[in-house]
Amino acid sequence: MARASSRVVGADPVIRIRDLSFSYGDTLVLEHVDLSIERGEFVGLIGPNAGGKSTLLRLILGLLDPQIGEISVLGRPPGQMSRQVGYVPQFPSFPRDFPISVEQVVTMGRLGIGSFLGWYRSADREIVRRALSEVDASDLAGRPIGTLSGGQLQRVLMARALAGDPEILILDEPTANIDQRGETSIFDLLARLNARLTILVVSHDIAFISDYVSRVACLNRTLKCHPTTSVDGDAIHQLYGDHVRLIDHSH
Amino acid sequence: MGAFLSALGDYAFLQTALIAGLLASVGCGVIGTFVVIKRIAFMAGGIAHSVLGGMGAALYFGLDPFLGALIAAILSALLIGAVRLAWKTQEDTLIGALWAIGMAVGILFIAKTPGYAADLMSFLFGNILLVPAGELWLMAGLDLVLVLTVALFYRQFLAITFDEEFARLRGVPVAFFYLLLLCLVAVTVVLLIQVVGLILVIALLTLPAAIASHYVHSLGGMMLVATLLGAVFTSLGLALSYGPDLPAGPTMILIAGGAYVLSALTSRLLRRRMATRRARSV
Repeated sequence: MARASSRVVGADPVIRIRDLSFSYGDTLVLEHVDLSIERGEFVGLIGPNAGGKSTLLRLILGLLDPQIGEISVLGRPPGQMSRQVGYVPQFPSFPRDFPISVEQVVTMGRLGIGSFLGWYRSADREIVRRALSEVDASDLAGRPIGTLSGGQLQRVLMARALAGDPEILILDEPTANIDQRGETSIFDLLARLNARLTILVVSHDIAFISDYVSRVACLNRTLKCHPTTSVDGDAIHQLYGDHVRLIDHSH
Repeated sequence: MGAFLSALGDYAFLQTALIAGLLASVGCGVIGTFVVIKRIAFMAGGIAHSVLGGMGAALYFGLDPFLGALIAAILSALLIGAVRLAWKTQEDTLIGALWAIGMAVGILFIAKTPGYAADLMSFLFGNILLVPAGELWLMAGLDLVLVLTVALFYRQFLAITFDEEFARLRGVPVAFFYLLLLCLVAVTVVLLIQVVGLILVIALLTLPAAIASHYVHSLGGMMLVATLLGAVFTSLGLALSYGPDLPAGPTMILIAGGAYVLSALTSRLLRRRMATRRARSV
């Protein structure tokens, strides 16, 4: 397995996956997957639809249990550490007409911190304000969640993840519903956050993310890692088959 | 209406009925809001109807039907909730089955209960005028349980209603709070059965909160407005039914239903007019 070996990073990987296989019923989705992500890395996870990307994320988050193999997140089984992981889903799993403001949605990122009973504290609100301003969404705080555009919602969901003060940020197709300009600014933001967070991002846009990430993991049931410089025609061919070619689009 | 107000001063049973309606509206506002935004009205309907089994059994064994209703409601809430959590999507078949089985059990028990079985109609359609004064304390106690539970765990309830997956990732025990929410729905159903009976319960549980959702865009605001609307519907229903000697429960439901239709139409119209005005302003 290739490693971004030139990086000076912490001793233990923040995410370690060893010989992981997973299937839904008869369908094998992940096969002997090994992956180790060091503190401070910015890893892009790419692969075709139904290649197992979302399943791998759900396993790392502890929403699914591995059938074979091991996962540890920050040295512990994933379910125990989900509070240290900020997760930004691809599709919001809530109804858009839910009577709730952006600020209240982001405040939910503070759940599980502090007292179990009662309401949020003023310290929570301060952190929420900071999270919203970090993603340039302070002006949206009072808006009902249903009135946001796709790109605005994406930022709000990122703020919700950041409000929990995570060590790892995991994003599933953060740019699926937004245009090119929004895409650039989301990845610029991620690059900034990478200064303090380990980031794992799923994306379909290989060429685009390779400008930003330090390493690309290609998943199509099995997983192969490449340093970003070597995502070439061969790797793409292996992953997607004949019909996809690498188009050079240096900016 | 005038006759009602003057009778209200004279007759203790009318005062009791009025207070029972007000106590029930707290449940319909606070829990009805969750039922509407979590879209579990069908589930609430299933719980309400299965309650007849508990009432019939209690009657047969000479116990308080109110107690039988409470036990049956909580049991069916836990059963439906557990099936939904374990099998994800198959709960609607089970709800339908429980709905019918509960009623069948209840009717068999009532048929075999010796003596006069006139209570069936008031179980089905409620009779707020027959609420014993002592039961008001029980209703107030249930209200207190509802409001305290929701206030203490407001964050968790909001989180599991809004986004279960995210709540789970934040360490919220989703299954526990989901079942607790369904138990609160069960308690509310029993509260409201006193007033409108188990067939009409679903209207009081959903309509005030649904009307509130047309105008208010926060959970707490919806609860408050729905509680006030519930109070207006039950009191107005009681008052309007008194003069012409109509059954109070159905009168309340028709008022709530009429208000809902009116509100749905006007809020649509208002939204469209606002959008047109906004579009013209540029």
